[in-house]
Amino acid sequence: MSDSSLSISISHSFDEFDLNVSETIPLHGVTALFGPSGSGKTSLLNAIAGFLRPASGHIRFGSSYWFNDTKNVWTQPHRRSVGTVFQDAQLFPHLTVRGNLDYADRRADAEKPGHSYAQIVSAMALEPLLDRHPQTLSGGEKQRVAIARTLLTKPDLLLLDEPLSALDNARKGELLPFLETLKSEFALPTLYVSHDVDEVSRIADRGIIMEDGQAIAAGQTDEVLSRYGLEAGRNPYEDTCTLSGTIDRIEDDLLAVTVGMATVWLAADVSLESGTQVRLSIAARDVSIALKRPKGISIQNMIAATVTDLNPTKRAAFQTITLNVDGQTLHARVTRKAVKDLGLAPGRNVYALIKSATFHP
Amino acid sequence: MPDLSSLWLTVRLALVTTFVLLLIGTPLAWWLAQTRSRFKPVIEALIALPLVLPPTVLGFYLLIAMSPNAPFGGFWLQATGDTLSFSFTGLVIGSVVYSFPFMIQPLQAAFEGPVQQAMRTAASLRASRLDAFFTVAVPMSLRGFVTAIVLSFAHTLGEFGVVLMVGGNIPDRTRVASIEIYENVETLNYADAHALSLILLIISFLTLFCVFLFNRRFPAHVRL
Amino acid sequence: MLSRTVSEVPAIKLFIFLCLGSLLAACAQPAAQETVTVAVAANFKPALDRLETDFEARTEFKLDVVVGSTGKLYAQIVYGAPYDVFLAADQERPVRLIEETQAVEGSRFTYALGRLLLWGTDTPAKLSTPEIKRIAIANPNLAPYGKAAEQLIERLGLTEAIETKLVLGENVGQAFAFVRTGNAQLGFVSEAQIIGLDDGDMTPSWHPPADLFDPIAQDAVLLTRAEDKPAALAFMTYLQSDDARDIIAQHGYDLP
Repeated sequence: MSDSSLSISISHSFDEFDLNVSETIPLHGVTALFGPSGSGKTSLLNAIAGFLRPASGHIRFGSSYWFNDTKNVWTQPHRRSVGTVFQDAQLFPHLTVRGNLDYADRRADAEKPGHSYAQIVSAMALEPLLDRHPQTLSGGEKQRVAIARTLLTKPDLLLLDEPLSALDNARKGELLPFLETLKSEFALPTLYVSHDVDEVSRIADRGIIMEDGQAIAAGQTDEVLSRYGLEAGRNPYEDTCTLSGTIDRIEDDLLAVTVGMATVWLAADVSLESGTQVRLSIAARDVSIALKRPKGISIQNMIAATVTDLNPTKRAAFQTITLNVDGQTLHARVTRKAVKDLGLAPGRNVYALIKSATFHP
Repeated sequence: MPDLSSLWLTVRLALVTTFVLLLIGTPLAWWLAQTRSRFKPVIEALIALPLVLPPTVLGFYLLIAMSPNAPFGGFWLQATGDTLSFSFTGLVIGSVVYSFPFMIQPLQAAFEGPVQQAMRTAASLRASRLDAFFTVAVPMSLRGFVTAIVLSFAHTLGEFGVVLMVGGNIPDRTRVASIEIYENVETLNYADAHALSLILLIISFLTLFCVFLFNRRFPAHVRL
Repeated sequence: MLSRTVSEVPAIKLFIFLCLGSLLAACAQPAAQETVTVAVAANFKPALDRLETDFEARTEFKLDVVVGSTGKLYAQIVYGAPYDVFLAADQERPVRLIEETQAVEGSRFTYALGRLLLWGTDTPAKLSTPEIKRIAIANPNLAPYGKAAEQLIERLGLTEAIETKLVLGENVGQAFAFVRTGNAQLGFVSEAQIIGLDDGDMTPSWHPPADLFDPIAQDAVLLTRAEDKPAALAFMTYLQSDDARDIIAQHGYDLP
């Protein structure tokens, strides 16, 4: 429905890259903007917020244009009902926490329905901090104030620009629940910019992956992430897949994990009860392909799989083969020559030989 | 005891000049802080000129420009019936030019960087640019304002070269303290020269002392 | 270690060279004995320029000229300014210098008789008319021409009428500049200054009759520090020569 979506089609040239994005973002739930630094995600956010005027294109929020190059429409940032939470909170140093919140509250549209001051303060647990000055707050506390402040403006769209990236791991852990509260209690359509897979997969419903100023993928979070070999808990740019399985038994210091029809043996230094659900992370470079089940080989784990996709990788010599293992996805990295020699093609039944895997419960 | 009217005139001149500078300087400093125009270096250099030019050069050109024969001076004479040179207004104009960089530079520095980002933040909180300027930019730049105002004031207190060229030494109108001290010295009237100089010195010192005291009491961000 | 730094870093060598060079340049002067430093009242400067050329052509000596208002120059001399000869625009300051033993007894003489001029109109009645807003004179405290102008105004009975219109120049040179640039409509300057102007100048002027003001006797005096200086003595002699007097007369002065 065009009424409840944010339609973006913009182009702008920067020194480092050209921004070219054409996407329609539904105005409900959390949409992640994911990509490495320099990919244009912050610029896209700036364009939506009104801090950047693209060279051409349009941005339509629901049924009204915030920016339309051909019709010369440009809505000033303070007139757009979008709230931005910046990476480093950006609290006003000359005001207390209460002062910062009041600043937003005073300028919000009184007629518009929204959450009350008290509810927002309580949701972000700010009562003990109200009379403090921003300079005395920790990174996490500042972000909570920033979020509360933005909520007080009763925005129709929330933009979170890498809200956790300035925090250390402990603080991140503290703040994540608040972000989840934000999502569940306030239910504002949100654009969440991040380069961290963990955050994204935990919070976002859908994602847009950006690279070099372009959106190269969009869709449901898990799907989009795994298509690009990205998985929570791993270096996102190392191609890793996650398989779900159940612990069957322990034998000789090895765990037997049932994955679909097959059994995967892993070294384990924790003892787990059989029946526990676990997730196995398997790097593509640890997976080889055989047409027949080989004998006399040290690799213990061989799983039946079907080839679904031959994806060429950036390096000419190698290719990432997408395999279907009883409904789950696994990637194998093989040479182009091997693909040719083995005659690999979508639909082919093969064996995935897994050299190593790690698991998390 | 010397005639103190020249001191009072000096203080009046400094006050009026500082006020005028604040009015014209603030928007200009603001523009400089956020523009990316390629004329920025040219304008910054022009503004900084009074720092390096001898005041007599300034005074000389002002004398020519203020003359009824010149376009600006002539216009002034027609509009007000009085010449611009040898008038208090003429001195104010001269002082404004002379102390210009002392107002602009601290303000521009205060407006750059964090203040600009804070303006964006304010916009995201539904504040218009004018609103944000007064509620965010100004409080955050208070230190810069204090520095700019005090420096402009103190600098004008000591103005001499420009006044010498265009003042005409008229009591209660253009005969500022620095001119009177000069004349006292020239006519070997050292007692009066001492008295006036000392007072001027104390005023200047106290003015500057206040800035540094203020800076120490209030950290870079003033809490309101 | 310092010498090694100096020899190794070319920039330091250059810097030292420049410093020495500019010091030397600053010190470079014609031998002191052959130059006479003349402190001269502003109004006489144009005439002195001409005299300088003539003097330097006739003798092997050179002139160094310092210009100012008589009062300022006097004060500077009292405080030890390195002048050799003082060409004042009055008699009072030279007399005082002799009394204070700053100048050589018997060296004083009147080198020119100055003439005051009202510039910008041909009638003094104009002074008190309402369309005249500004009248320039030299500061009476500092400059004899200013004092003479003040005296003239009093004798014309106009003191009260035009008191508020007066603007004071540092010296008669600045008073002249005020009128010349149009900032003051009228001004009391020295006749010598008008003589030096381009022929195209059609500004009217009024020569006050001799009974209305005392001619401004401008005295020269040899300063004590230059008592035995050949260049200074030569100049004082030259000033009284017929050649010099001719030049002075050409520049709008009367001669005693």
